[in-house]
Amino acid sequence: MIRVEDAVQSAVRALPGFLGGRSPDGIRVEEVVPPEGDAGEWQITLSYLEPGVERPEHPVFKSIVRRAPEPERVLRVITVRADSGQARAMVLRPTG
Amino acid sequence: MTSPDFIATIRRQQAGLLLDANVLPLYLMDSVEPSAVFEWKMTRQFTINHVDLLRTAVSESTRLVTTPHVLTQVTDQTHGIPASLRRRYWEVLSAFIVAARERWRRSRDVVRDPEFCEFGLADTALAGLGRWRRPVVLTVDAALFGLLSRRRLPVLNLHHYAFPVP
Repeated sequence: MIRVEDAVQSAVRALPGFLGGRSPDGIRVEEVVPPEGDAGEWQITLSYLEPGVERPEHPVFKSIVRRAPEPERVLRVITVRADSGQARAMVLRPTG
Repeated sequence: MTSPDFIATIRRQQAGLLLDANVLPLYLMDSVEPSAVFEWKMTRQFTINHVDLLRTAVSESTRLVTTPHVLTQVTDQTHGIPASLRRRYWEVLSAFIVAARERWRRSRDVVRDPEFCEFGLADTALAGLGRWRRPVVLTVDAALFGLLSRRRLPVLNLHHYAFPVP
C-alpha cells in the first residue's frame, strides 16, 4: 500500500487534469481518509480558491487580532488507489 | 518545518489548546509508542510532520483543554490498538483526562444551535463554547474547520501545515 504522503502528492498532481488543465490557486489539503484495506482507496479532500478571490487581512482592534473570515473555497475529493497510487476520480464536496 | 502562523496562533490563544477527537489519538499514541502512530488505523493518515507539529503545539500552549464529547469519541475509538500497547494507552488517556481542563455546554443548549442537525452534538458543542477564554481547536476535520472558520473562531487544520502544497 502506498504511503499517505504519496497519496496526497498523487491527488495534488492530478487536480489540474481533473479541472481541464487549469492550475488553481491556494491548494490546501483539508482531509484524508485512509483505505479500509491494501486494495482500497485513499480519499483526499483538497480545496482551492476560485479565480479572483482575495484573502482578507486580519483586522486588528486595540491589539486584539480577530480572525479574518476564510475566503470562499471549492472542496474536491480525489480518490487515489492504495495499491498503485493512481488518482482515479474526483467529486465535488459541499462546503457546508 | 513549523509555520510561524501556526506557532503564533497557538501562543496567542492564552485559553489553551483543544485537540479534536481525530487529533487527540495521535497525541496519545505518540506518547505511548511513537512508532505505532504510522501503523494504527486511527492514526495512519498522519506523517512525521503531523507528529512534529503536534508536539510543538502542545509545548507552546498554555494548557490542554477538552470536552466530554471529545473524550467520549476518543474512548470509543480504541479498537485496533496492539494488545501490547492497550493498557499503556488507557493509562496515558487517563492521565490526559486528569490533567486537561474540561469545558462543556449542556446538550439542551447545544441542540438550539441551528447547525446542530448538520454537525451533531460534539462539533456543535465545540462551536458553542463561547468567545470568552476560548481555546484554539486543532483538527483534521474539514467540516469542523469550516464551521469554526465561518464563525471566526480560532481553529487550525493540522493538514494545512503538515502537507504544504507549493
